[in-house]
Amino acid sequence: MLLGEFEQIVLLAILRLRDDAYGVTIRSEIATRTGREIARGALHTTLDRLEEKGCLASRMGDPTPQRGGRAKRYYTVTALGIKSVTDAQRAFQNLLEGLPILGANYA
Amino acid sequence: MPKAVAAEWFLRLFTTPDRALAIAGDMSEEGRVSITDLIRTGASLFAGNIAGAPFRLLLLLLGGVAVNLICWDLATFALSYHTFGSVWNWSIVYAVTSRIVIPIIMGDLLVRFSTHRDMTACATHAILIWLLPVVWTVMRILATMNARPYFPWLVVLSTLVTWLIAACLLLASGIRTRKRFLAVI
Repeated sequence: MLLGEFEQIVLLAILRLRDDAYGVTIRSEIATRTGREIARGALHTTLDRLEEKGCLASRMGDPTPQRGGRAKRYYTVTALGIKSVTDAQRAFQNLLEGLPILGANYA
Repeated sequence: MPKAVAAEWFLRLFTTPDRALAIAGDMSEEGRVSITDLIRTGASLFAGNIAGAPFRLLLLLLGGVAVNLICWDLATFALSYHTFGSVWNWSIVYAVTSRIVIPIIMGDLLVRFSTHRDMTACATHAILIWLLPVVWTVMRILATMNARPYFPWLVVLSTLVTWLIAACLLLASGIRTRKRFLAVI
């Protein structure tokens, strides 16, 4: 399955967060790791799309008072999602292999 | 938290109720339930809905436009020949069906036939049914401008307002049908 750059970022952020991946933490993880402030709508559209593709699964958590009694929607990466993101990353690695760019040699 | 409740209601127009609940919850947790943030989120979901099923939405829109055109043509035919009565009686029937009845039926049908992307279909169709008559009226006026002493702003303004009301009726009908559906689920 072909994944876009932002889709890969979202999947990797969810993988890093393990059991605590929901809207707020995913945005914060992406901002911390990549320095990119992403729009909430863009994130949720991507999450929906990844779920439709079968790369993500979601479940509703318990309502919390700090969220005005609203539940969190937790995301987990499926086996297909892991395969897709590793395939995409491997393709990048293959393309970088042997290229002496930015002073580093990607072997 | 009335702001979060309004945000949830607004987001429910563009996504499923549980997703809208989660997004509104995220906004509350971050303490950022602002109108700009809400509009940006709604716009992203709206665009995502169109990108997710462009052909289905296009078919729905074309179907809607076809139904509208057929109704206008039928009304124009009835008006041209006014076989069954005076032209004034038929003008009222034309105005009522094309600007009140058809948008209400269309809103209802669009929600029934576009699961998960219902309000996106309604919104794009509402924009279309508002834009088409306005553009058509202006073009017709411009084409016959030589025979007119001035630009008839009143005609353009009344077209703009009446079709805006028709578009709002379509949206309201869509929201009402969606609410009924969600109540059943």
